[in-house]
Amino acid sequence: MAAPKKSGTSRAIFPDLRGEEGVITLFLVILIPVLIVGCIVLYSLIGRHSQESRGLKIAYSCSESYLSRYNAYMYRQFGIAAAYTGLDFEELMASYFVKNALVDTKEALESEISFEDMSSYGAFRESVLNAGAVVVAQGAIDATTELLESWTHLKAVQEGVHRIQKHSESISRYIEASKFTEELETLLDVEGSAELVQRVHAFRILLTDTHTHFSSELQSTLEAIERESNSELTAYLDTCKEGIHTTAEAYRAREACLMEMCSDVEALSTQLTTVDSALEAYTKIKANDSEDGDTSDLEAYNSLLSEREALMDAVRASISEQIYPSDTEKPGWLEGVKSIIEHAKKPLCIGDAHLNLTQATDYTAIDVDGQDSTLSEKIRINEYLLTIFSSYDSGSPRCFEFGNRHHRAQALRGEVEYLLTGKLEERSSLRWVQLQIFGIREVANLIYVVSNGRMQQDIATLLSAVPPPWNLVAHGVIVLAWSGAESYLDIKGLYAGSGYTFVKDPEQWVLDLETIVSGKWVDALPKSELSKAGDAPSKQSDKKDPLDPKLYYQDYMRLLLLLQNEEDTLRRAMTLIAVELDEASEGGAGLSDFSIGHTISLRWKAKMLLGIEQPFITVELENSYAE
Amino acid sequence: MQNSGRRRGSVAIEALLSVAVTLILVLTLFGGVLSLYSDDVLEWSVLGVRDELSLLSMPLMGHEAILERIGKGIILEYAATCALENALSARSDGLLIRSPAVYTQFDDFGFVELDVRYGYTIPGFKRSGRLVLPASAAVVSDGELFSKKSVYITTYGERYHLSGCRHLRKSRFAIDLKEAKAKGYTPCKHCYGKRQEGVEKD
Repeated sequence: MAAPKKSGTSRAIFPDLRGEEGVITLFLVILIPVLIVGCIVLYSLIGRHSQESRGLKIAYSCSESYLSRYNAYMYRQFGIAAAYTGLDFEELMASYFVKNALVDTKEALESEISFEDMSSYGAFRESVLNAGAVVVAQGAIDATTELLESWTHLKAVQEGVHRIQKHSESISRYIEASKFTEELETLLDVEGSAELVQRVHAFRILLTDTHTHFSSELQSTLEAIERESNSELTAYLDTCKEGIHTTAEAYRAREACLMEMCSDVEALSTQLTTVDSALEAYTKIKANDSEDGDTSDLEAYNSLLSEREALMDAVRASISEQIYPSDTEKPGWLEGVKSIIEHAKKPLCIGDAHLNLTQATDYTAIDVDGQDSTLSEKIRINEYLLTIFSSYDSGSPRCFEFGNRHHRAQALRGEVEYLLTGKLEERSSLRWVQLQIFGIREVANLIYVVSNGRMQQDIATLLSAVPPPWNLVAHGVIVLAWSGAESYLDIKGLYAGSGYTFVKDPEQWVLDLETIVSGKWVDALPKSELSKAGDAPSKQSDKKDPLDPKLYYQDYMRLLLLLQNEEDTLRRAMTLIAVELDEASEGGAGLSDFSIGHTISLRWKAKMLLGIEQPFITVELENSYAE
Repeated sequence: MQNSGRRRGSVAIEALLSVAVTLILVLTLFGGVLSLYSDDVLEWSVLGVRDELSLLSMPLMGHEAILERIGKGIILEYAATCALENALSARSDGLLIRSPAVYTQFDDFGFVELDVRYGYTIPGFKRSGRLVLPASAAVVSDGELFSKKSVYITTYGERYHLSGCRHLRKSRFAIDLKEAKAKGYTPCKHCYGKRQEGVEKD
């Protein structure tokens, strides 16, 4: 008898096997579903992580792409990488989430983006620090390249300069060798009129010969200089030619004076010959008739002697005037000091520009985060600002140019001066800067005057007639006036592009005590003084060796910036950049429209798996140009 | 004896079934996880390609006409495909990706769009995958003139906003900044807060 059929899977599959149904059922009904559910849960967890990872990568790509679109104006003008906030960043991100099927619609992505815009002090400082590294490095590379290029031609240039110097020196040597003064000194010792006439005639011949030789020497020197065709020496050649012409003119002037003197002396010699003849006649008469000497004859004789003496004095005076040119009358030294004080009151350089600020461009009073800077950071910021903004001497050796910034239209000529003072009036800004530089130079020059023995001796000689204790007071006044006048000249020189070592050496020192007390020191002022408002200096310091140890105007700006509070400097820099942006964009853009970074917060619902509701995925990302 | 034989048979069936079912589940799970891992491998590789492509595109910024031609042509695609193949071959797990293809085009925002399509060497749930990422700024739309600045207004609001503002959740309409100002809209305090604060303190 066959066993009755039982329902159940195992029996259906394997009808011969009976019993133990419970074990199979337990496995099929409980264990398999648990395994399946476990796999689904595991897969969904990994899938969720995968979606989160992909979402983050999309956000990162969008963020990087957004940052890659840095504003061209901001980068070219200021070297700052900053994005203009015109692009719809949220829309961009949502569109890529949809394209990658992470969300079905753009609205399904919840996003919040906060931009780190440049109107905040911290963001601006960070962007300046980043840009500083680029701009300063670029300036240093440019300077090094220029230096290397100049060194390449250094030998040729040096040889050219040496040849030109030899030509120039030959003229000077020729004049020195002419020995006019020695000849004139020998003329002073001549007593006889005949000899005098003879020597003056010889001197005139010497002058004529020297003139002929000098003219040919001058011509050959100028031709030799003309033959130098090195283009890098053009400026130097011009200077040399100018110098030679000046020397030649001075020589010709002196030659004319000497010729005039010869004529005078010859005229006097003629008179002297007449007197000598008369005296000789009297002497002969007196010798023949020595005992019957008439009193009237004696008087006439004495009169002739006196006349001869007067003529000889006139001859000597005429000759001496050519050997030792007479000094002009000296005013009292107090007058000289007075003129120094009067000049010190006058402004040296005058600009009349005015910075117009609006509410949108004025950042001078914003709150700062109070971050502590290291010295290297401060130097980097200052060097950046000195490169980006122009001062009253943008051609100094250690002034680097970024792009074509120095040729742009600018609200202020003295932008660095504004950074130092914060004054909107350029005139008062410059005056403040000049006073600061004057203070520095005064101290340095005072050290020089006090420590220089020769100068102290000159002052003591001048004050020898002043009784104590007034001599001490006068001594102090003269030392201060002397160093002050020299400092005044220094500032004039700095604005004209000259440079000086901090404590000068004797070659650089311009004024002597005689010039000070005579009031002639005003003549030593450089001719590039800005006499009218808004004038530019006639000569800026040319590009020189950046390793030149002298301090130029830009170096004083560097020093003053370093001494100034960094927060003040940066707030004023923000204002200047905002003004420039405002003008460039015709009022359309300000610092707040540029961001240097952003924080993204994204939230979306993960894709459902087999109809199971998934929780939200949240992603946060920070990105900036500094990352 | 018959009972014990039945018991042995049941155990054998259970073992057969459980091994089969478990194997299928494990293989399925393994295939699924592997495809997700393959996606991750490709994503990192494409991110690398994206950076390389950015360097390629960066010098061309502002020359949209040239870039348009390159973008729509084959040079950019070819460069991206080569870079992706190199990136995948440099990885030991790059073999998981089969026949990747890169397509480039310009998106609505002026970026070069990288559309990467690929298959899996070991098949899982998915037969193929796709990744779309923005690559680089192709053009400088705002340029030096600052003439194209868009801000956003809402349906009922009287202020204009920047794109990330929280007030734009319900409605947002792009409008030129100058036009918004001309129509009497004022800046949102949330978006322009920092700037306003700075001004007010003066």
